[in-house]
Amino acid sequence: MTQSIAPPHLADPAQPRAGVRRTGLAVLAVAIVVALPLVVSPYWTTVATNAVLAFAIAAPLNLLTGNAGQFSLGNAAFLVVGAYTGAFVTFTFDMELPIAMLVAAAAGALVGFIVGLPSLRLRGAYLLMSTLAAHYILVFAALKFQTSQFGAAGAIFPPLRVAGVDLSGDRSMYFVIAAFAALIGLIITNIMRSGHGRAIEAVKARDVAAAACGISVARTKLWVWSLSSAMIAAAGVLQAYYLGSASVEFYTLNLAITYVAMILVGGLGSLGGSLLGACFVTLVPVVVNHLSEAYGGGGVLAHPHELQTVIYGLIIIAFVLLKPDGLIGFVRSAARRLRNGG
Amino acid sequence: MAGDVVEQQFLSVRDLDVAYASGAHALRGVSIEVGAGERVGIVGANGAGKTTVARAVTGLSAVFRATVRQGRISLAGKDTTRWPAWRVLAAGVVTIPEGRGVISNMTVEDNLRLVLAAIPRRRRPAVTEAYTMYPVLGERRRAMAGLLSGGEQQMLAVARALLVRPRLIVADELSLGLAPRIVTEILDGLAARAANEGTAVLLIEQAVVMSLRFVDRAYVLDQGTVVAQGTSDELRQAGDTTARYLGVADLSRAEELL
Repeated sequence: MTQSIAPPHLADPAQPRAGVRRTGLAVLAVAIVVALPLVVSPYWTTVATNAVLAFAIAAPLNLLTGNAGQFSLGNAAFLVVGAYTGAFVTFTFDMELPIAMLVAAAAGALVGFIVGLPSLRLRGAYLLMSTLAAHYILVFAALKFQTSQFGAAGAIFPPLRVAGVDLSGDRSMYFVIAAFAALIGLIITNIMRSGHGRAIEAVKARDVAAAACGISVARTKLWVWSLSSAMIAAAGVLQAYYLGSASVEFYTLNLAITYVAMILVGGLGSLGGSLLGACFVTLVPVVVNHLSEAYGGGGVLAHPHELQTVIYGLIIIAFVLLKPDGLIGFVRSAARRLRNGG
Repeated sequence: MAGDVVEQQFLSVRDLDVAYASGAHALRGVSIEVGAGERVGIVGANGAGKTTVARAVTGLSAVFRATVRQGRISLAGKDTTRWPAWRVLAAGVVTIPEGRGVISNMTVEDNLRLVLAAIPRRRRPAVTEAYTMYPVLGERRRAMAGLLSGGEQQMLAVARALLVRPRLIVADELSLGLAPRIVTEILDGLAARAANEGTAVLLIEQAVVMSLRFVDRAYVLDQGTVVAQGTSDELRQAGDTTARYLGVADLSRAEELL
């Protein structure tokens, strides 16, 4: 028998068992997500919220970079575009969160389209440089916007209320963000199972082959740029509500790199990889802090922040060199061993 | 056929000038015609401009940073000179690009499905059609296309092209790197289906002898211009000059070598 090594995001209708297994896993994941804040302490609820929010931002980035092969450092900029569009809509027109997110998504799509235009000509490192330029331009524009609209401190968001219901508590905030993250996951899963998903993979693999198959390479690329930026911008509104404020200093290149680290560590082109990477990168500072407390904060542990940065760096280098398919690669090989062994 | 009353070429290329962004002037005043259901070859040595013709005709010029400077390409009378590949494909012209154009990290079946997206849903054929044509593809449909042998990859490319039910297939260097027996097998499959469905084939080949056996007539390209044309027999009997363009000492005798 020829061994099937199809990537898991390309659904295979001829394998119903895999489909059942996937549905089972999804149900399990939803159960864990729902039960989590009821079981763990408020501190861990906050950690979980951070992880789920990170996933909602890393997953669209992974669609763009992992699936479509478009390298981008523009995520922080798309987050600020979303946060400030959301803030503007919320304050000026007194709109509720869903509307603010939709408008932010539209703005994100437009900006993503423009930032994606160089991708029609550039690839790899050159494309990365153009997104770096976009990052600085957009953050600068956001700074001007911030000064004129919200003042030097940035936009202060009120406690989250939707349709008169207060959702600003830790648990309800967690559920709102988890629901949004689930929606993002669902959208991406469906795209990657459709003809669009195959077109995206084809464009990443070979422009010429894709074009020869009747795929408009330009349209596909710009569509992915718009879509992933729209999702990131919408997440930006939620993130700003969660943090209580949005200020330009928060949207640094460092922040952008954090999400890139998540998809590199978790696994490029995989939704599960985005989730694992988001959890992993969110947990690094938590673990470092715990270690620092447990061991009295002596030696290197006296500088938890610097230590985190070093650990990030080492982890990324280690993954790129030793495990290019990321954490999800471990899960896949473990699952394969289980299937073949049992 | 319904179109018998009006004698019209399906593909018509007139005085085509194509240059690459690098400055290379690849085609100068090339004119080529392919009638409905006809099998036409373009032969010539390396760098003669054959592939540039294939790219221009199938809308792939832009992907390779080539521009049509002058001239006109039309399909069934419609000007398609500046159409992108997906529009040309929708108009019934499908390409088997040089290097086969299969996507190696996708399964055989996903490669086939890729092209179906370009066809309106109600006219979309079943993927299994391709497996009827080349059963080996059905056996390996879940394998990554990159793991297939060269010949199987080329079969995949041919089957994928035929799935579109094209009016014209432009095949670029189909025989490259393949054993003659495999090339014959692939071409026989292509010929049978093409004849059955009235599909025209523009075969672009460096392997002259093989090409002339398959096509009704051919154009000889040298340094971006058409230097000779005629039926396969005429070209086989042609004198030293034509043979020299093709890098063969004597075409009528080269046939015997195979």
